[in-house]
Amino acid sequence: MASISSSVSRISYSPFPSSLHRSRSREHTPPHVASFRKRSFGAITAVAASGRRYKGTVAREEKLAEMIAQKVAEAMQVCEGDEGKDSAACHVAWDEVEELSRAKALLHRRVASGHDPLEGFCKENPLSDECQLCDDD
Amino acid sequence: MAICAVYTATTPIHTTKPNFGFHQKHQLILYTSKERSRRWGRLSSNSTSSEISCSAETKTVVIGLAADSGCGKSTFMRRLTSVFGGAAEPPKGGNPDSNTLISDTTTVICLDDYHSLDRTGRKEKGVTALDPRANDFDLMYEQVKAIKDGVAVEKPIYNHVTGLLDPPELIKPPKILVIEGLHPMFDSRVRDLLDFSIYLDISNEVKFAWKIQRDMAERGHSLESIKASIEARKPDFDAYIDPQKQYADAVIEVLPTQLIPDDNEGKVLRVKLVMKEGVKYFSPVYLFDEGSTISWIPCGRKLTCSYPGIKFAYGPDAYFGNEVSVLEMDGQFDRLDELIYVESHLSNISTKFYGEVTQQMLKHADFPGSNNGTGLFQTIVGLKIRDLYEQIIAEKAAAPVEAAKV
Repeated sequence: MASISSSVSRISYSPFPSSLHRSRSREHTPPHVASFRKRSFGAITAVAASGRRYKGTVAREEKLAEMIAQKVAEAMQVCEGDEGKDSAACHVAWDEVEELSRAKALLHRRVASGHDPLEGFCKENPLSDECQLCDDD
Repeated sequence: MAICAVYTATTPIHTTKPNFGFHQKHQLILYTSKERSRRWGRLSSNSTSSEISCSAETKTVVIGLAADSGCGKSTFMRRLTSVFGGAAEPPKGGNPDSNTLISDTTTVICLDDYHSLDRTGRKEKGVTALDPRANDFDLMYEQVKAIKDGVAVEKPIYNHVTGLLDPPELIKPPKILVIEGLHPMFDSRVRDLLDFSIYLDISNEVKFAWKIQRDMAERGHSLESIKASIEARKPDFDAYIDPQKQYADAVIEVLPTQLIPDDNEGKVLRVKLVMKEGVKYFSPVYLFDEGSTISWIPCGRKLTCSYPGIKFAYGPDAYFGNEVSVLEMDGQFDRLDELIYVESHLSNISTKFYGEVTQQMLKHADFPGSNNGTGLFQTIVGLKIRDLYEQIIAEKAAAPVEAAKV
């Protein structure tokens, strides 16, 4: 985040939906966001400050959660019985669960620390569907 | 060999070599432009600028980190890059699912990017990601070697969200390259490219406790599923990943505490730093008297600790046939003064000033492990790597340099 230089201020932003301005709630600003807010403007600061996430990110987290639930059920099934438990298919099934659990945990952590993976993309394409902001329930 | 050149221009100047603020010997840049050099050091200035550049050819230093925690978990990486200065972040403007982290001096690449089989492919063949058959070691060797020799590479991206192999991203040779993943020391050719290697060894009980913390809130997961997942991956882990321990220059072992009987929360930890003896540029950390066996409880008259306290041990040992020194910490830091007290009694920690370890730990007090041996030893290993790097660079910068004046 600190590497966003002052040149960012020269990028002209297309008008944002008015909801974006409403979302800038100062009382939720984490310290590291507040310090660079002076230099950079636009959607990034607003998102991080308001605790809202991009639609694309929310969709991904949802999809991962769904896949995890599905793969756990699959793995339980494949690994049934003594034979199932030692089979290659069983090992692979649980490895997939582990991979997805990790991916979701990492995504969650990145968003929580203010480094939404879609940040870069949404800076360039603020009007894209994925870059609409969602309220956090 | 040192190459010097003077550039004076009123038009934009681009340097071809990445330009880092950190310890750049023999390079002097003068510019009058207000525009600060951007991350990769290209001076784009429209005003008069002069650059005097004399650079000694520096090869990239390569560090290997073996861990089964997935890439981007990187508490270790964040501590390491912080020791060198700066924060490591995903490359801007590229694939949002890139596993790579880049800071001013360090690039961390995830070895999962060298999967030869994507998720579907692995399912078809019946191999887990832990299996060497799912990884392209030839490509891994080729690219790490190229980066080490100063050549940029187009590295594939393995997307953990989709499970597919995405189009490659460009990796330019940094000062320090860290390769992080399951198999950094598996292939002997890759192993020989490593200037230093670390293995993060988490015991099963601690792994289980951490995974519960990570996954219990997930819709699909339960205690049984988490347990089953660890057990199902264990055979491949024991066969392919665990044996790499013997090749590591430093092993960080994380075990349950011995200070609290029957503790299974995994919150208080016993952490061992196993350091190989006789490694070039690496002098193991010690307590009080190098090569002797020490047991030390710092809490007492001079230092008050809260439950369960802190306990240290140090001594020589044998590890898979190698001579090692082991420094061990059990317990937790509660206060700043405990940390500084401990730091002042450790030797060979390669700090540049008194209290540097404490400062680094405090800087990242929000990181996991900041109050126990994991954070402490990760920070110390980071400082040892910095020391190793500086020694390597000092050795290489032997040629005299001629500087031209503007």
